[in-house]
Amino acid sequence: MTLPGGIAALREAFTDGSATPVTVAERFLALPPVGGDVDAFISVDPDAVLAQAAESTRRLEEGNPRGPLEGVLVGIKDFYDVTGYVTRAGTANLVRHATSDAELVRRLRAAGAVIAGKARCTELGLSPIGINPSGGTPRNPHDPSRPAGGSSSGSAAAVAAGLVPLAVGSDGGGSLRIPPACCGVFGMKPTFGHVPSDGELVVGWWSLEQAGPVARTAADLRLGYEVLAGVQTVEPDGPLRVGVDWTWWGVPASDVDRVCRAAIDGLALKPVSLGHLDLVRVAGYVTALAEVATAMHDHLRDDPAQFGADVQAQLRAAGLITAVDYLRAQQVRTQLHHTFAQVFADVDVLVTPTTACTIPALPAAARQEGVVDESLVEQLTRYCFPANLVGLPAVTVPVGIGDDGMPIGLQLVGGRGRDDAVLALAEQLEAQGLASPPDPEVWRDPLAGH
Amino acid sequence: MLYPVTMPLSPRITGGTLRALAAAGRTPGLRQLVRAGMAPLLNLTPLRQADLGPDVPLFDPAAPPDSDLSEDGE
Repeated sequence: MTLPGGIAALREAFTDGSATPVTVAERFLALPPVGGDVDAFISVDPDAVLAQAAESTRRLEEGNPRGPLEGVLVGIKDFYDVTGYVTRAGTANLVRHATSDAELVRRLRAAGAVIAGKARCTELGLSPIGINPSGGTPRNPHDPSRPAGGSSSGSAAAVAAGLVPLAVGSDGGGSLRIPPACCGVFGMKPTFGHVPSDGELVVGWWSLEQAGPVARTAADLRLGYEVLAGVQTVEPDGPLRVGVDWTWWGVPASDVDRVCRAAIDGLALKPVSLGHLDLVRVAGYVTALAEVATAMHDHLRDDPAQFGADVQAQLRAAGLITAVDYLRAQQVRTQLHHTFAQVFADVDVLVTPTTACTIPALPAAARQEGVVDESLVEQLTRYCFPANLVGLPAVTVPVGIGDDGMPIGLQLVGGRGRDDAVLALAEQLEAQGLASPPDPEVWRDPLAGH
Repeated sequence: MLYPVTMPLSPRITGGTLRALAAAGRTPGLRQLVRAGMAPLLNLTPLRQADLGPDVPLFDPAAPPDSDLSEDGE
């Protein structure tokens, strides 16, 4: 069985009259999105959702849709302001009562979207594993005993389970690629700066983070990017040149290696070399931790217990980073920028696995107590950090399942500003039947009336 | 090769253990963090030993896509 759940299915239902934005919103609220068996959302305002849906239904009845997302439920990561909601960035330490929308939310509303609510995320966006003891841990729709990956955990879980066809996340070290890969859907980190950050609760990540979409189809991913970035993409001229650096690919888990190689088997791959990337990981950690620890410095000084113990440990570790370390990390980023620029003179897109392993089951106590496991963090972020360090666009596409039944993602990385290229290759792989969401164990599509 | 082998998962430490340390007046320090599996993160030696020098400019994430990030501009 291939489950739909995309925006096209919604449009069709709105057109043939089998559903309206109101009926979909009512079913969504009844799931429920907060709690329930996915627990992807931290807060949903039923009155606000129904009011938006009613306006959208009226516009459709009048033949006057606002835009391409008319009536589409969209989840917003709890990093971005939505009027009437509290923004927390996954931590109890930060509470901002939003009196206006973030710019990206305004753009979604202008396209007709129905803002579904605030999706859960890991505390300060730090954990790529997906555990957040204080802010809530969404369940992976493919195995509810496992986390969804992080940090945009709720955004990915909501889309994977069919609660919403589109969600917004943010990515400072893989957070729009790791959770979608772990949950078996599409995710995109656009080129740095393409999506405005106005109205984001700033918790660091200044030079690394970018907002972007999570979707069930490549076409919906493109549409989400276009609305968020305020651009109209065009198809690349001619066939895409796809490269692979087998040294960077390295040795992921055997099932990840097998599934990802099968997905690219039919591509005319050009071998490339990025050289030694052994400084990339440390430059990524140094940059990310220094920026988050700086932004959270006063909170950590004044009331450290407000942070989870796992986050405290990481912020304390940042105290070992010197100013010289941080600046040298920025020099490493410049070198990496030059390296990627040389490679992207010869190819349009690089392919790697998105993560080096599937998301594992964790001890039950981790859900309540948090977890520190930098080895697992390394396996999850290994392929993702370089794109953040130099601001490259990157997409993850779902290409299969591992030996444990959990989804596996393939990462597509483009040169700076070549968001069109990574989106085009995602659509190509989807059209060839090489990329599609595997059916989850938990499926809660409001359109289907579950 | 950058990552020659699949790394085995290190021993994990949960937040509860960290909280117990803190409650006992033993705020997690470097040793506890290393034991907690954060050794890869805390290993700054490769960065400190790298040959970089003063001619390598700092990265500018807002630079235009075609920027060469050289010190004398584009």
